[in-house]
Formats: sequence, structure tokens, C-alpha cells
Amino acid sequence: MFTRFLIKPGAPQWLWVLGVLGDFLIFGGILFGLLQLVPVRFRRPLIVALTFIAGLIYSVEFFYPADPKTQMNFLTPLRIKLGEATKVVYAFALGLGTFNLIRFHGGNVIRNRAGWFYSLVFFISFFAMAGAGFWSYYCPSRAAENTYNMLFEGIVASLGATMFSTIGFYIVSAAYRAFRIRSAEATLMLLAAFIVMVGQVPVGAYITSGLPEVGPLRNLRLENLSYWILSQPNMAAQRGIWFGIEVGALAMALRQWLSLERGSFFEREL
Amino acid sequence: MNVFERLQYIDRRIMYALLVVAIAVPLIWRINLPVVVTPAVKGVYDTFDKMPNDKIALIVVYWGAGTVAETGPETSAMMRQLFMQNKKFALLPFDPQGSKLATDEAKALAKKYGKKYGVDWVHWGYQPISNLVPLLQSFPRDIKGTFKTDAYGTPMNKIPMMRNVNTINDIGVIADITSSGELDTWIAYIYGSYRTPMVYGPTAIIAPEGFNSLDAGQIKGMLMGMKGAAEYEKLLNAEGFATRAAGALSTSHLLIVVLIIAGNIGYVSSRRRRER
Repeated sequence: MFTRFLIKPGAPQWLWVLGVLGDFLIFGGILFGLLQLVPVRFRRPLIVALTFIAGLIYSVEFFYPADPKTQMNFLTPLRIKLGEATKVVYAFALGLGTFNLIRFHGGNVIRNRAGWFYSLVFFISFFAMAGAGFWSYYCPSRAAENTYNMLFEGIVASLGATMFSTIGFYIVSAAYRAFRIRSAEATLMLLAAFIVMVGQVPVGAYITSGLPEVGPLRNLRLENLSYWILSQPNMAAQRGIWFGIEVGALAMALRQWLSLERGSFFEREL
Repeated sequence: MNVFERLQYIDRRIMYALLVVAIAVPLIWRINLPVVVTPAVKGVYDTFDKMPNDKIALIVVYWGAGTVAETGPETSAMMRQLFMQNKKFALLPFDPQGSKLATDEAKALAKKYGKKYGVDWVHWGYQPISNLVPLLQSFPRDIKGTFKTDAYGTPMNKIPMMRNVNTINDIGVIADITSSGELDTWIAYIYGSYRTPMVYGPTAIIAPEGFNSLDAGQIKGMLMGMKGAAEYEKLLNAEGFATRAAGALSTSHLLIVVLIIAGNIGYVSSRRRRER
């Protein structure tokens, strides 16, 4: 708000950061103060009303016919602005998350709690990666880029890939134990799994490569059988599941919009 | 307990060792196997192929290092087709790791095909995934208002390929390459409202969910993990990582099938003995 009027485009970045923080403190403080002035019994109705109005803007904007020329209605500009404002609110979550991590791990290290060493690793990793990032962004050089790449590709990316790859080992072990022909249904599932697993890789095409590529027999080629299972029976099942999920999501959204949802936050005295 | 019955109690460490061998051997000694192109993959190729050259493609990157083996080749193959056909694209990453990995790949491919940043491709900058819905509500009608600068701080107006790109109508194809399940959000906010053609590049594990949208025509094509990327590379006639790794994918799947069969032999043997 103030930032837009007081700071001119092209001003140094640090001035913008200060301006945004100032905006947040001033307007956040005013809003918080005003909320404190509202009598306790009116606070909940106030929040319910605000929630309803916020939801109403999006609903009316969606259903109200748009001007065919601009594809916009009278609420569309407000929706765009609200989208930008939401981005700013989300950005604060990043700061809050960082603060929480530092507070939690800092406490572990200072109080010498069990596993404090891992908290120390967090601080080393956090500051090393952040430092390398700022260094390569603000003072670009070959050394800065190499350091950043070494940390990112050599450690972060490799650790991420390793963590995910271990799932492959568990899948082998789990598939071996789970797929047993204990009943007719389990046998059917095993058969479908066999066709999809083999048909989804090139070796499936190789196994049935003797079958013709055209004519009715082509349907027996493993890659075609696998594709049929995925695109027909699987799709029907997925569609059924999604209908259920979406109806539930709609009910949940309505409950939140109309403040009917009950939970720890909604039950608390404000 | 006889030999057959023991087959249902194979030590998991033996299975892990066998999996390492099944993956490593074909990567070292290559196995050439036939790759058959499925209609879903052909759909991706055709959608990019039909995209008018005055529009740009939007490549959404929502994957990280964990799934780079599947989503990396998918992203790479799409960028390759666009460069080969002299079409322009923008990267829109929602994952900080994916942002770096996809950018590095785009830079390498641009160098290979003699393409320039800002002229043939652009990076719209990393966006946190929590921003997805507000972003999808604002960018279709005002791209430059939503993404004021590119990833390197250059104002959008100063980027040559962005001069005539203002709204969703200037985007020809949206490719959602993801290891997560946010395709429905894109369909709800983008395809539902603007009918912009979409293609999908999920990991193999979430690909079955994509068949609903494929059948409904909400996505025009889909790559099913690394196998999909290998099929795409075959269509492009440009061999990449997915084609090279197809052998390892086959042997690891075969190993799982063999282990399941072995486990069931053991299970049936012990059941028969109990019945006797």
C-alpha cells in the first residue's frame, strides 16, 4: 500500500523489502488492533461474515456472465488483485516456516537434547545452501556457480533421488509378499498386475512380438492388453473413485464457506 | 520345508541385491528392445506438432530430483520437439529443484539446437505450489501483470518472445509434467474456462489417474513415466536417457514378475502339503 506510493520503481531491492515489511507491520498491526476492539461475542460472526464475502466474490465472479469482448465481468479485476494478495500472504508462510525450523533446531542444540547433532547438521546445511545461493545470485562468478552446483547437484539432488529410489526396493519386497493367489479376486488382480507390469516395459512388446500388428490377434499383444486394462477397466474404477472424492470436496468447500466446519480452530474462543 | 516351499520366504536382502544387478547390468551392457508407441504418446507429439508457430507452449515443471529419472526425460523430449520444430516455450516451475534441473536441460538443448534464451525459450520464474490457484486465476488474462519479470529479473516486456504474449490465447499448448496430482486443478481453472490444449507428463505411478482426462479429451496426450519418454524419443527419432534406460526398466519389471511367480509356487506347495 504505502510502498507503492512512497517507493518509486527502480529503487534498490532492500528498500522494497523494508517497505513491504513496514506495510505488513503497520496494516497487520492496525487490523489486529481493530479485531481486539471488537467485543468477544461479535468476533466469530465477523470472521464468518468475512469468510462468506470472500467466497462469494469468487462464486459470483465465476457464474456472472463475462463481456464477450474482454472475457471479464465487473468482479474479474478484483479477483486478479485478490490472487496477487494471496500470493503475498503465502510468501509469509516461507518466513514463518524458516523461523519455526530455526527455533526448533536451535532449542535442540542449545539444550543438548538427544539427536542435537542432526539439528546442527540442519544449521550447517541451511546456511551453506542459502549462502551459496545468495553468493551466486548477488556476486556471480565461476567459483560461486561451482559452489552452488556442487551443493545442489552433488548433495541436494542426489539425496532426493536416493530417497525416492529406495522405494523401488520396498516395492519389489512388497509385491513379492502381497501378490499371492489366495482367492479368485486375488488371482484376477495378479493376472492384471502381471499384464500391466510386463506390458508397460519394452520387454512386453518383445515377448509377444510374434503376434501380428494388425487384425484381431493384435489385441493379444502384451503392450495392447496393458493399454486396454489402463484405458478401460482402470479408467472406469478411477472415475468412480473421483466422483466420490469430488462430491466430498464440494461438501467440504461448502462447509468451510458457510463456516459450518468444526475443528480445533473453529471451537476456540477468539 | 522343501525347496519349493522355501520360495515363499526369500530373504529381502537377496531381493534387493537381485534388483541392483537387474538395474545395473542393462545400464552397463545395453539391451536393445522394441519400443511401441502408444496412442497417448502420439497425442502429445501431435498436439505440439499442430501448435501454431505464433503461439508459445507452456511447460509446467512440478517435479524434483526424486523423480528426475522419469520426469526429466519427459521434459527433455518435449523441449527437444519444440526446438526441433522452431517453436517457442516458457518454463513455469513449481518445484525449486525441478526449476534448476529443467533450466539446465533447456540450456543444454538450446546450445545443441542453436537456440537463444529470450528468443526461443524463457523461464517465468519459480512459483511456490501454494500459489497455484491464485496464479491460475490471474495469469490467463494478464500474463505480464502476473509474472512481471522472468527468473533473472528481466521485465517481461523486454524479452523478445514475450512481446506479443499477453493472455492465455497466446499459449498454444500447456504441458503439465508432474510427480504430484494437480492436473485436476489445471483442468478446472484453465482447460475448463479457456479450452487451451493440454498434455500430461506424470510419473508412471500416477499415470493411471490421467486416463480419465485423456478419455474425456481434457488432455490431448500423456507420457507414462520413463516408458512414455522412450516412446516419445522414438517418435522424435532422437535417442535420449529414456531409450538407454528402457532395458533396465524391463529387467527390473521381469525380476518382480519372477519373484511373484516364485512366491506363489512356494505358497501353493505349502498349501497342498497342509491339505494332504
